[in-house]
Amino acid sequence: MTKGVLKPDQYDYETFQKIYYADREYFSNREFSFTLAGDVYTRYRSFNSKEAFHKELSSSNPNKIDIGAVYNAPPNKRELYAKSFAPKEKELVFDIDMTDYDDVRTCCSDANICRKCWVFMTISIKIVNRILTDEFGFKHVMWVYSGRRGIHCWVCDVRARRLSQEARRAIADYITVVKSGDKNSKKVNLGPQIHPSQMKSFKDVLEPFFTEQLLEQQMLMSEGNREKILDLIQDDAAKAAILKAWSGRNNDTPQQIWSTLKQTLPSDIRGRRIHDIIFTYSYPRLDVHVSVGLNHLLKSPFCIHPKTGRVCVPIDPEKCEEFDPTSVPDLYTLVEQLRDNRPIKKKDGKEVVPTDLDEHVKFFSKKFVAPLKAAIQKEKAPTIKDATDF
Amino acid sequence: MVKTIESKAKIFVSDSNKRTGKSWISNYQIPPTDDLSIDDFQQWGLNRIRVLKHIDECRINGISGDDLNRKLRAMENQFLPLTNEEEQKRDIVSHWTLRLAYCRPADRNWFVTQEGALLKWRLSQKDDYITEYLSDNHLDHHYRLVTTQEREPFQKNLKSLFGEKPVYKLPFEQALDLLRQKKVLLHNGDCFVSKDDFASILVAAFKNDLHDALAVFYKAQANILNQNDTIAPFVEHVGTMYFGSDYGVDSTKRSGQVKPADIDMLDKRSFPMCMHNSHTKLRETHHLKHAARMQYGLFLKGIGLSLEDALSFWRTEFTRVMGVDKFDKEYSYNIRHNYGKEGKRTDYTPYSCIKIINNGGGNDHGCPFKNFDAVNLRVNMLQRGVPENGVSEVLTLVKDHHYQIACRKHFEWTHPNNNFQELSIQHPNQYFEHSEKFFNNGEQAKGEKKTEKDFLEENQLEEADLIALEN
Repeated sequence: MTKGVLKPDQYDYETFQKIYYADREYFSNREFSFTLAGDVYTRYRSFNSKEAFHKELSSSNPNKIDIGAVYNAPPNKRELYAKSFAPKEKELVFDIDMTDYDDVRTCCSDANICRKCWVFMTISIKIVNRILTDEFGFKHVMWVYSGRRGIHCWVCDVRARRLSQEARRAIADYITVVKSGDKNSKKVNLGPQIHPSQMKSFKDVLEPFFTEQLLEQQMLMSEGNREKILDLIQDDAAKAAILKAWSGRNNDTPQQIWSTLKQTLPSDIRGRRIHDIIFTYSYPRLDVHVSVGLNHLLKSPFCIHPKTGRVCVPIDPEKCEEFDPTSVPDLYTLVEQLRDNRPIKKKDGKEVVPTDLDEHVKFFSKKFVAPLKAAIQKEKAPTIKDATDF
Repeated sequence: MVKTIESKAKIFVSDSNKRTGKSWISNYQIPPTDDLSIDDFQQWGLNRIRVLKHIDECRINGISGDDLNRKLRAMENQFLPLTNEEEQKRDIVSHWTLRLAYCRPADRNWFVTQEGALLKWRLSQKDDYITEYLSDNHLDHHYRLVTTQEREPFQKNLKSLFGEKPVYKLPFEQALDLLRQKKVLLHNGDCFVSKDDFASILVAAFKNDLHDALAVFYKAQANILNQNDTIAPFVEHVGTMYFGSDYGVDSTKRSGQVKPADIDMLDKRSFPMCMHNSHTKLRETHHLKHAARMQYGLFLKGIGLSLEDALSFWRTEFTRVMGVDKFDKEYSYNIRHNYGKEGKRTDYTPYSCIKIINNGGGNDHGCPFKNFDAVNLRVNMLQRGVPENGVSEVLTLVKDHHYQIACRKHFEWTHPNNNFQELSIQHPNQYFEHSEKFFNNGEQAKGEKKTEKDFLEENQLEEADLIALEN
């Protein structure tokens, strides 16, 4: 899968409306990176116009495009600005990767995913999306499938784009409950008292998903997996009581085993321990570094994942339960469809070949780009010049 | 004084005098416009520095709670009272004086930190001060107490987070620390914070603004000072002033207390790292360069080595690699000079930590905590009997550039169970004195538990105390 991106003349440039916003300077100061054939990673590319971008895309035909920050000067001329060259704005982004769940998922590991473990991503979208919109008040939040085993989130409100690095860290820390990459068995830190935001996530999402779907992860079915859960209880007497209650009931369903555990926990620690377990096993695990760094790049939506060939299509957070990563359009299918499907005439007389990608592009431009464009026009598109200092 | 500032300040004059509250606490948005005598200008500035330095020392020594409160109140009462309009004027003028003195990039952080701590402490003194501070400084448009009616829809969550405490509401960008710690309730981009936490937000905003203002001010500083040559020397030196004893004025009293033969033993048990280093280099190479001879020679003078003994001490060492003639011709002058017996006959005083740290240094002088690499420091500390955990503690401080605190930790580890809880190392001779006190009184050495009275007496403003280091 080396020729990753669709042929440039078939590339939908509407896609790049979102990074173009309303201001010419904004686009020309935006960093792009192209990953060329042979994994050659080239940073600090920038373009004066859509046409220049189009031209470069045609000639270098990259496998992957990453989008970076908007700088105070064109990134391709950064040497001229030496030390004063600095990122000014960037979308607030989040990266959630299935590999961070390897200690709690049993169906797959590493780069593999299936519908069972995709539940972790569904939970993440539901929770993070609610926090971003209801709590932080952001309106232009886009979720994208990363093409393999994770999801990206782009928050494009002006307010989000202008956040300082410190603010991004604070937001990521606020959302984070489970510290990933930690070797301790107890990764979750809920503090002395559970925060109302977490309580809402727990009641609305975590608890129902945990009991209805995640228990299918067999985390209670083998001795080793049970051990992991019992470790979170941190109370030897309670542990022993639970093991005793479980013994001899080999035909219990995961749900029955779970409710035995709950009922056996002493009432004074029951609430806390159930929180600990469910948060550890299901709460979103963010890769904080990606969110914090203003100069961090993230793969462009609608790229083709170089390894899987799948298109990085947007995910509708309202219907994220329905999203199936294994059935998104991939490059092979699209190439076939472009070759075999009969062109249809659009209203403006242009002929286009319909493909499986169409519905995703339509969702993107109708549900995301259009409202964003409207909001920016309403705000009279504040330019980078009067952006607040970081 | 402030002619240049005045002409600029006219723009803002507005209603700076219409203060209604009783907190008198200012956020110093408006520069003072009054005429002022140069004496008041200096005196008020110095008084404020004393308070700020004291705040810093308390922080370094981990003093907090009631202790801190007591100390700061005493300090404020004496040097920076704030109970009426006249005192408020002094507070504002002295703050702006120090802006001038501390706007250099290297000094900014220190000043901003201490001013922030002072504001935080002042705001905590009475329940109403926050409200008064807001209205006095016209900040009440930005921040508002949340009314009961507004609380209503969030009451359950607010109660679980803050109980019945009053709550303020503000954009989340202004409460990042609290956001990170999940100490806020967020709704639609705004966050609710408790009144207690709100004070720290005000302080953070103040520090932020002050930092920015200092950066702008710095550009104007040269101009202001050029046009005001009466205030320039004061402003330029005030930042590096050392307020403690100079360990030199009464050197005649101490002189003769230490003999050349004692030095090795004293080095081993009581020399601070910097002097230990110079001494070791001297014993190894039988020579020290000029800067090291000044630093170490004046220290020896300060601990009580007489001129005659000093000459003999240096001569004995140096003549192992050179002739007596060469020594007498090229080096003895320098030693006599240190003791005020040559040249302009100034009785030079030993260097303080600030001077030693700022002077830079090489491998035979300067502050080792600043100049040495971690490996070298580790070896040195292990040799002096600091245990491994002590070494790493000191190295962490060094990494954050806390050289004087590192030195104090080094003192603690080499003087186990000492009683000097509130010691902050400001001067190598002070280190030496405390160390000697410790060893001479055995393990029951009396740490100086100062009473408030002692403390105030010690901090009386006396001309003799003010040794501008550059002189």
